[in-house]
Amino acid sequence: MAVLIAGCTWALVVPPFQAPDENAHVAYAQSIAERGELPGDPAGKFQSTEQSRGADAANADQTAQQLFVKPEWSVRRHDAWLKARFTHAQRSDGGGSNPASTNPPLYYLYLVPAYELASGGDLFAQVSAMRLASVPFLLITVTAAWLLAGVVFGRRRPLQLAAASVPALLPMVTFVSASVTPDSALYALWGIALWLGARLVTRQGGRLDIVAICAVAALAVLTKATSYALLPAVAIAVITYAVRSGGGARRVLAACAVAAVTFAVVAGPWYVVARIEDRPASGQLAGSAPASDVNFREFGSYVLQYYLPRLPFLAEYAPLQTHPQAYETWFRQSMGAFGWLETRWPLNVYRVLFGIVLAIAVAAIVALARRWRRLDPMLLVFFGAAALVLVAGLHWSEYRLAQGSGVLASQGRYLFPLLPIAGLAVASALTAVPARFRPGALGAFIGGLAAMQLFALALVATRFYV
Amino acid sequence: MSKRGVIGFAVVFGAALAVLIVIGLTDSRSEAFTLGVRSDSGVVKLRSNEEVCQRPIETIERFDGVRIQLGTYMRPGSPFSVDVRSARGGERLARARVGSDWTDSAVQQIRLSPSVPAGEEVAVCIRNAARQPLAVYGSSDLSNRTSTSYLDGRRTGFDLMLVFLRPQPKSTVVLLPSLIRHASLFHGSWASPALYWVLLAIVLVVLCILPALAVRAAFSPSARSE
Repeated sequence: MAVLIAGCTWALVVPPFQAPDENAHVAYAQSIAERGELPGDPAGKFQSTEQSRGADAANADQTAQQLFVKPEWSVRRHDAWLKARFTHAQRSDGGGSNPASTNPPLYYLYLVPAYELASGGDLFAQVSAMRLASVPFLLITVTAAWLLAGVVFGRRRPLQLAAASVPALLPMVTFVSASVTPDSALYALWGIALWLGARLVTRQGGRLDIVAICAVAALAVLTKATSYALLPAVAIAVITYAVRSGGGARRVLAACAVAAVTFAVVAGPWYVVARIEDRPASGQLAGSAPASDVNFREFGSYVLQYYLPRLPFLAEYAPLQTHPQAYETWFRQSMGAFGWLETRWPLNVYRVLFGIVLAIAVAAIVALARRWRRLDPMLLVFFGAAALVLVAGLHWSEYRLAQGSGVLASQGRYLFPLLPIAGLAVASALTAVPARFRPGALGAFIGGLAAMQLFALALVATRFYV
Repeated sequence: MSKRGVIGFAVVFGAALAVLIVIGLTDSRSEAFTLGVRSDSGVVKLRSNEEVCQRPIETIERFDGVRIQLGTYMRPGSPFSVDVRSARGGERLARARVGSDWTDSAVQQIRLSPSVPAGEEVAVCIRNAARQPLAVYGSSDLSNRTSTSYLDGRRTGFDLMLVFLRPQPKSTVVLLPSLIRHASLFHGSWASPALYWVLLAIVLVVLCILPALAVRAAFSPSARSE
């Protein structure tokens, strides 16, 4: 209930189009709802006339990324906007290329009923409706983290609560999940896949879990191309389950066949449609340099400099702005970079938060070391594969995009599909705390997260509205 | 056990809430509203006795000051005046005369007399009262959608950097009603200020109580026996 209320609050507090690429995602959903077609028409406009005028009325484009600019505060202009009437032609003349137009369509199809339901109101009522329709994904993400902790630690409520509290109350997760973006669905689907995968690896699940995890992985791929990074981990889970169930190679082959067929049945129609419409089925990397042009030496240097101070023998990789860039991108943007990343905590807050995260990481490692002999190595391989392939994929994409644009494109929220694993780390850290201090430690941790929610809402409200 | 969890939550959350309230009560916000124009460079060159006006500007809130940036082309400061006029009738609503006691390219806070009430459509005009030219800072005409600047009646193609200041700085808590009013705009016609007040109350209560209940339930004897 707290997560639901917080999600709805974020959906109604953040000004329209003041979340990353929200204008492009709204344009995508409107293209499906009004034109019955996916966007990407080279002759089409980025967004419809109605959306362009709406963005003007709300001062959205000027406000994006500019801390000193505020959204429109004039009641008179707001009322004038409400009186404006738009024809179907003005709502359906978008459909052109935009940053979201290469995304797969699943999430946007899901939004269409919410868009239609609010069609009696203005465009901003429809944006609010689509945001609210995204909030249930946050609940799924939280539930998945809870269930995953149950698989890993057994039904130990404090540990499950610790794990679930991370996606439930980390403000950036609520902010992103309560805006119009496929990331909200992405986090939920990755969460379910990680839970099902853990069930398979530990043999707490059955054959149906193979079908379920492959269907979920396919849905994730249909939501955002980032989810191809999930497939190696899913393969590991399926094969581990088959091997551990006994029956030899034949059983492994049968499990792989079931997995492949399930994936094909769910994701196949999209590949057919994409082929017919001559659009990339996984076009996340539109605008990037071809893989054949990649200089692997430079790529390695970029990755090293991303995480470590630049060593004397390494040539400086120009697009990296700060050293280490990982602190800026992965940490600071995960802890708080609202709006179009411009609305931030004071610098000292990040330092304090970094100290807390570091302490949790150390405690988690200590707990892991203590349980080393009882740990299931394949579970670590499964989680490690999901995390490493995602991070490697993000670096690969970012490097190729930076080759063309000279700008780094990754954001902290791109790591949020791994939130349930972060939740496990918190739960694991809790086991390192002496038993009599555990309730207080968990209460303080959750109190801190709830306080972060309040402060983040205040930060965003004062940035945009005073 | 469950009591310790609730105490842990209450201590951290309560302390944070107290800090938030103190910040909200003690911070000081002098900016009433802004055109949202960046001060990129001197965009309008005012020769002797020329006047540049930015119009029409809706006064969202009462103000009696304006923040501007002027340049003197590396000379000492020189006299100028700032007039606020009705954008419709042209009658003067407020005025300030500034002497030479300022430096090149300094951001200046000009106090106007009398204050200008909310709800007006105004023009803010800067007149060069000296022989030497003045540069008025601002940015491209795209910066502010609803107004633009005119030099002696002709469009300049630029917006002036103008920030409007309230007579007395106010704390965020005092500004809460206007914050709520601004937040309720452009979220659909059903999103009224009343809804936002209710939402604020609910989110405060929910964040205060439900996580604490979750911690208590997690350490309750029934949870441990599962």
